[in-house]
Amino acid sequence: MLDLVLNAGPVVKLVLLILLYFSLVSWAIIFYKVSTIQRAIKQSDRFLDFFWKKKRFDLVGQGIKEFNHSPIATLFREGYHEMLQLKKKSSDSIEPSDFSSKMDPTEMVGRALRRATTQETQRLEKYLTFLATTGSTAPFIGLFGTVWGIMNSFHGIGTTGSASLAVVAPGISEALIATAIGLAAAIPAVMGYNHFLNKVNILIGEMDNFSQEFLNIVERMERGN
Amino acid sequence: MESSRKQRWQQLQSVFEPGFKQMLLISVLLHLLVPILYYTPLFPKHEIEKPPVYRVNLVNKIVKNPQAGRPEAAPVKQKPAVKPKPKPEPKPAVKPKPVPIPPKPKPVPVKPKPEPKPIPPKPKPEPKPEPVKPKPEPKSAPKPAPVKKKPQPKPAVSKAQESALEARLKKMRAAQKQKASEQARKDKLAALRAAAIAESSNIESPTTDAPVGMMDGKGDQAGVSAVAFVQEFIQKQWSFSKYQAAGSPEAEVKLFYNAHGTLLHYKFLKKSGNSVFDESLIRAITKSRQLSQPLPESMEFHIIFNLKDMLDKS
Repeated sequence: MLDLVLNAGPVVKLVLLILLYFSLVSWAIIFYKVSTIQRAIKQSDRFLDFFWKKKRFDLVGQGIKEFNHSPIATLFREGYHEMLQLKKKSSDSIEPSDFSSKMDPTEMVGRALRRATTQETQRLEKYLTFLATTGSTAPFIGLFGTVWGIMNSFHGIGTTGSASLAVVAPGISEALIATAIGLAAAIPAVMGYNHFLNKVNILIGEMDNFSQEFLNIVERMERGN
Repeated sequence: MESSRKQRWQQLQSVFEPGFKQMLLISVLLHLLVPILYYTPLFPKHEIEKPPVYRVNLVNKIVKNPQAGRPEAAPVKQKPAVKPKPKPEPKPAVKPKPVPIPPKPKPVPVKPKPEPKPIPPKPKPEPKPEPVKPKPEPKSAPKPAPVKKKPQPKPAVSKAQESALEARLKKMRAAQKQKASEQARKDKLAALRAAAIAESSNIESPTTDAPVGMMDGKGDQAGVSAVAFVQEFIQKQWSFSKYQAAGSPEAEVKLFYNAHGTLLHYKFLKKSGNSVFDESLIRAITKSRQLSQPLPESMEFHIIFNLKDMLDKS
């Protein structure tokens, strides 16, 4: 097996190195994403429980440090921060200006939440593009190595004039290892990509739901005032 | 708040998020593990190291340290010891002849010594190729050479020393007679050899005139290795239907033979797991309880019987 790699030509070796790089990085991404996305989902669940139990924003704001890795906690932090800013502005302003009186708190908190959602989504999806690239290009890179290797081995057959299986088979098997490694790199990458994309979509849905709930609460508070 | 936002932004921009390098390291280790695992017993190699397969002519002498050669070469039994002696004899006979022959080379009859030299070289070149085949050729080669030379000398010498010539002629005739009988013997030998070669002709070998020995022989004795002999002997007694064959079961057997070639006892060190094959081996071993030849000494053999190898051979 190892001899196949060592005996391969320079182009096939280069292809194998590129595929090895793809495989290394995509596995690192898979491990990294497993840990971060698992943690994000777990902490988000715990945060939602915590949020609905406490019911008061200030109490939730005090306990939020526990949920550093939850994207929903980040949404809450951003929204709550925006609310505090608004409150501060309205209480601080000695001479109320037309500009501040026209400010709609729901709208502003909503914008802050949308921005936070975008940022969190980007953070969750980071590196996933590499998995998608690996999944779609690694087989082709491997195929390139194989085609190149077979090309060379046929050239060898042409020059030696012998087409016995003993002459043809080693070159082809050396060449085929490139496709094999390309597939070995691509299959886990595609599986990982689909899995993580699904999880990220679930988290995005959760974040949207949470944003709506949060805005509802803000609006209720505003009307109550 | 601002700082945490900035931090998150930086994190998003960075190539390595915190913790990613660790995962990269784990990935590298995992990739290193794959080839390491591949070479561990977890993934047994399917290539079976095949032991050298010999087809041993069961007539050849059994020796402990066989020389390099062909195990199935034509058997040349007790002759090797007898023939080396005849060789020295023909030479002295040939040498006296060269001495009288000097006259032939017209120019200088006084040079008896230089001529003996040219003649000896002729007999030598013939013996040389023959040493490989110890027995048959040594005898025949020295004689044919002298005969050829004698007819030539006669015409040249006739004028000079007739009496000496006559004496030489007598000698030559005697030699010719001897040669004729020798020739007859040689023909017989050749016929025997041809028969032996025909017998072993179904075995492909690049060299037909290789000495008797083993391909990987390192010793100095002409003959076949005792292990190969016993294995071949048992193989000859073995019968098995190829329709019962499945996979390539292997059994390891320890056999004790005494110097007379009688089986004292045997033991299966490892059964093949295929009872039909094991039983066929036991039958073959019991049939081989007396070898066709004595062994150099009482010996113990470890023989691995592989069904596939044995079917290939039979």
